[in-house]
Amino acid sequence: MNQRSDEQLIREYYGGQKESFTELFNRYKLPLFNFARRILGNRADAEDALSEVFMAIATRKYTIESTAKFSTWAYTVTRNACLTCLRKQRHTLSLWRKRDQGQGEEEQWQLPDQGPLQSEQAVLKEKVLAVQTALQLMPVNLKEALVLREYQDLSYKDIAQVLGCSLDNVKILIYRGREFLSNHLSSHDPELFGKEGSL
Amino acid sequence: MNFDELKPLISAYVDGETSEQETRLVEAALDSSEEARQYYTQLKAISSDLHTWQNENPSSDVELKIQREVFKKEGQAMQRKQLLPKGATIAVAVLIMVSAPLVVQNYLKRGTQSHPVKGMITAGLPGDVSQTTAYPVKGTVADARHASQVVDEKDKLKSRKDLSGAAETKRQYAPNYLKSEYEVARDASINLSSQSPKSDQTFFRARSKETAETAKEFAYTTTASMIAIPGKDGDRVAYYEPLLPYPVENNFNTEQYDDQVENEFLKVTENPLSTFSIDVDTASYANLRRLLNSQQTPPVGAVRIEEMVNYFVYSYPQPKGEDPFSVNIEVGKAPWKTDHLLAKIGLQGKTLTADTLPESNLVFLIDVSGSMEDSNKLPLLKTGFKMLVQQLRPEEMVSIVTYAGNAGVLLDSVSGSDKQRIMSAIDQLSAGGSTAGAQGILTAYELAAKNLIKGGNNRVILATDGDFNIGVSNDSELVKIIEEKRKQGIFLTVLGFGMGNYKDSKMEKLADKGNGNYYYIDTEREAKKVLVRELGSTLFTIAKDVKLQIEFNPSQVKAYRLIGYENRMLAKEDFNDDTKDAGELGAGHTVTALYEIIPASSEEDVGGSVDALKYQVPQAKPEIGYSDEVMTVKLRYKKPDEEISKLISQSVTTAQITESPSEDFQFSSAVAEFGMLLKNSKHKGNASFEDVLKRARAAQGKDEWGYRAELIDLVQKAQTLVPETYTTGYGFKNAE
Repeated sequence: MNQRSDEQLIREYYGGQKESFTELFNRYKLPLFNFARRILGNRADAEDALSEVFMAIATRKYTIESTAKFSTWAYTVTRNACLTCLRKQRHTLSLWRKRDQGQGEEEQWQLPDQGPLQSEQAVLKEKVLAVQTALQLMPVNLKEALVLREYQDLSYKDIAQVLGCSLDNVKILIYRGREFLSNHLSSHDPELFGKEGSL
Repeated sequence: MNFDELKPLISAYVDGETSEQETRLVEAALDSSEEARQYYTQLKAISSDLHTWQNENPSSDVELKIQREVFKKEGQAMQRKQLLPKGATIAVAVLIMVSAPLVVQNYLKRGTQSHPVKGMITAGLPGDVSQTTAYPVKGTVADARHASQVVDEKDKLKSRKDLSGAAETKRQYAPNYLKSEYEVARDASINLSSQSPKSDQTFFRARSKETAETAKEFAYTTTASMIAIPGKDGDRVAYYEPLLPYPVENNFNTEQYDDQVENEFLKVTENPLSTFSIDVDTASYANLRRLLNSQQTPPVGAVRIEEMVNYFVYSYPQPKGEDPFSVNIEVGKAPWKTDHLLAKIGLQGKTLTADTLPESNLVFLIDVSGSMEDSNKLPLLKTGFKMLVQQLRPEEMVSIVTYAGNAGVLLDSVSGSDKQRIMSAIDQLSAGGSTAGAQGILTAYELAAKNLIKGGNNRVILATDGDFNIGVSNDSELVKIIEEKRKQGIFLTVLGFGMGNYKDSKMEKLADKGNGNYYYIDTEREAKKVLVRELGSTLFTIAKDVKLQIEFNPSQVKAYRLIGYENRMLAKEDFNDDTKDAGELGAGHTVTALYEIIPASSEEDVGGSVDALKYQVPQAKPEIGYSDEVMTVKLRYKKPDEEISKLISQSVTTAQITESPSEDFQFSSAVAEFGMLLKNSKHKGNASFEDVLKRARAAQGKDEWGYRAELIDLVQKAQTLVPETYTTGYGFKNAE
């Protein structure tokens, strides 16, 4: 009757039950992929990062005895994969930038088929692009913290563990991330983000 | 403290991550300073802007690639481990000796299909083929036990771990019907030993069905686990199917159903009153449909006849006057036992029109735990809720609370006109983590209480697969919490999704206690029915604590039996007791109850008789009027925001017993008969799937949405699933 915890699953997996891996994979592929996707700014690298994490799981990098939650461990590994990737990206920065500014090639946004909302959807689409651009510009240390909070819904405590910093630090990082966004979103298109433009 | 110092605190406050002292500080600032308030809303807005960027899916070929790579890695690790550790080698050797007969048999059976693999270690078998197959069966099993006891604990553990890593194999050989005597004996001993997980024989379970199924789930093929058999005659490769370290449950199906004892016939002389609460839920039917469509025989506990009957819409007239519903009674012959009567009591709730709908405060409580990932759970839920959002009016305030691990507020009271915001909130839902159901329910109720609309429709809509396991997870504790909350005028709607670990019993209980209703949503079609077409009845309660009490007239009725409503029965005193909770009726809802009646003239022995009382003089039956009345139906209900009940009553005379019952009567009786067949009820009489089909087809009527046609389809499916002896009762007729 109980849903098995992540830790239980991985114990089972290391004990030989492969279906537990599939379950873990299904639980974590979306959150981890989207975390990497938002940090890295493109899908291809994010998919590489995702693959790296699951290979780390398969090669027994997670120690069952460790007191760390599996989820924070997984985010930590993903984050490290992202940082490594970004370091490599630095050498090819100009290329990536160009590609990412185009945005159009990647299928970012699938419109659900709701007829009457078309104009609203156009606005929404524009908003999404603005958000993506702003995040792309954000310093990575702020971005990590903010993404973990806003999208992955991690507690400050867990974020502190993933980033290896203090709780106070997390608080400030997230705050500064939001400040950054509020400046960038409003300067990007004051009409679109009119509400926030006032401050 | 100046404002710049306050800003990080407000940011943390938005996330609910401030200490008590900080919280007070921020809340004081929010109360006093416009600037702080503005900053707070700005942060909220940023958060919702961020969420316009929804989760994306990794491409499916990448997913596949990752899984494949992982398992490739697995395979390599396996081989290395098999060869290296000394202990494991010994264990493998013991395994080979023990399983030699099995191995050889498999080898022979597979014949040409098993190819020796290059580079495998060469070794010989202990004894030749004819010798090993000649081992007496019993001896082999005993030997196996003995041999594995020799291996010391440490090695045993190790070898188990190593071997179990290769558990998945695709079995393309040796169909099950080719079982040899040996295998039969072995499997039998395994079945025994699987009850005691410590027995060493479980170690050698071979060819188990469930692992074959699991293997199918990974859409890729490993080579069958191969073992090189050491020997002087040359390479031999055998296949073994090692066991998982402990017995695995057959298919991880952990659905729960409460067993229900069926209502019996009650003698009118002893029990003239029958009292029960209405039940507008329809979940049981939708759940049955899911089971039958996936070729499963529904467990008896999953069949709730009243919910099946109530799934369908009947054409009762709209109420006139002040009462929020009309009462419609029809009495005819019981189709499955023609010397019995069948009384149908139908309630029709008033349909609300747009201008009479109250304002609403809806809190969606959405389970986004890992178990909700399947396509028939969260994705279906999203589709369903989006359909619902399209129906919302500006007067409907929507909040969304999600729970997984911990509960979070996604939307706090957004107007129904702001569809885009609600939609994007729904869009970004994704599954992950475990389920803290209780915490979620508490948060949702808190939110509902915060945004309470006096005299309006305040409702928590819980969407889940019902698998609560963290926090106040005890059923009765949860129920207690919910019972408390319903006094504040907050109603609960429970929407059940998914399968596998679906907790039917728990969800029904929740909805029942929370002044609510309960639906099971298995398809988009069903989502449309509950969330669009019948949205009114799903969301708006027009009468609460609706109870029925039927008094039967002993001069006409010998005994009666209420069909279904087993868990809705009330004591006769409860009828007039306004503190006793009962079912709710939604706008436009129809509720139907069926009584099977044995007429007073019947010779049938109802049983359950008691000896005459010794110390009391039997009262002479007084001559009373109403001798032509069969029964009187009394109803009590409360308006949604009132606490004092109103009474309606209506009598039925023998003259009203009809020879040509209406379509609705025919159809509802067919559904009930279907339910009795699925339950294998002892009261099913001459019921048969053929009769059900015949009547359902004849009474199909207009059937605008095709619900009745669907029932006919289900009956046909059940016909093939439920054993024939069930349907005719032929072999069992006198057995009871």
